[in-house]
Amino acid sequence: MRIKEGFELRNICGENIVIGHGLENINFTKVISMNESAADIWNQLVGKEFTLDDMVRVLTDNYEVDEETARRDCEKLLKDWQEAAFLE
Amino acid sequence: MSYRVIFVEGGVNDERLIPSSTPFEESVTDEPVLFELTVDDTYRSQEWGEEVGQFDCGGNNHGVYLRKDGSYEIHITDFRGRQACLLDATADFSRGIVALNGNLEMRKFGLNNALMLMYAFSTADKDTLLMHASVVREKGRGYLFLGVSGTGKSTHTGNWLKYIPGTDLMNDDNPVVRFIDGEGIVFGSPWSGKTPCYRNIEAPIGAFVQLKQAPYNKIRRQTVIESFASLLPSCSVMKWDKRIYGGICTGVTHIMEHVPTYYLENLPDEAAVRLSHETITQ
Repeated sequence: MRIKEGFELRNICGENIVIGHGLENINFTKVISMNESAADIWNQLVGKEFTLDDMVRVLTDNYEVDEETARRDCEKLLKDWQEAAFLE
Repeated sequence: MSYRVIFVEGGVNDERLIPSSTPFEESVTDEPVLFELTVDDTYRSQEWGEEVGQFDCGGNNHGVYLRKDGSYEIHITDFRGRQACLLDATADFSRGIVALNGNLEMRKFGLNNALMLMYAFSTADKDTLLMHASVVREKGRGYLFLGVSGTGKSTHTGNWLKYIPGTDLMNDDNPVVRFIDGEGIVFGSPWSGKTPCYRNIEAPIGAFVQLKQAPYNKIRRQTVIESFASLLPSCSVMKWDKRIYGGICTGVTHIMEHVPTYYLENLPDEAAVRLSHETITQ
């Protein structure tokens, strides 16, 4: 999977906010924010093909977290991103 | 930040179609302008392009068509569904041509709408926002009230004029907001909705206030995310166009970094004005 073209993560006054442009995202009207670790995952993986394992690795490489916890968090994050239609 | 309107000779159109631009008029110079718009009723489209969508803009409809080279054709229809204006614009909105249709009222409407689109999108990457707001000025600062049509923006600012001495109306519908030298500044414009208020004036912005009707009066500061969600939809934007949307988001971010935004749940009464005045001018 990958993050769809046209979604961009921006830092706005210290908050990580996703904006969507492009014809394919014309119906995306939400404002979605992310915490630091989710933003790290986004920034590492945007523009690439990735798997759940890749998401988990960003967390275990950069944070003091065990793999099991990281995987649980990433499964939830992945579900959020799927619901927001960020992925293809 | 000026623009140039050219009426082709021999047509029925002239500057009487845009009387609200008169207070902003400047003598013609060779200075570069934001955009140049030619009014030529004989103009006919060469190629429509792909339909992006039909957008309701407060009762009026904008049919937007995008061509492969990035240029736009926009059909502007009034609230009665009559096509008043065909606008053909380059991808960066630096040049456009309009063909007007119908009676004087429709022509005025069509040309002013085309000018607003040209202005909003030619300035998108210049820290300049054409916003949907009613603006009052008090003690030299501008206060912008936001909300979808029918929220009571004009009612609220009307009550400021009534109850707060020394207050005046800067614009009632479409002010221009710019970020200049680290400061948010609001300007009057030739467009002001149903209220004729076309003033060539400016003021540093004191605050933005998102309005919401309620059976009580209550005000609070907005979070960053709420501010973004208030300001961005209040700007004229084409979100499928990366240059325009990215530029407007950057402009909004700069403004948010320097100007507070509030959320006011209110009744259309004097107490609401007292509450918002006391809170946002402190």
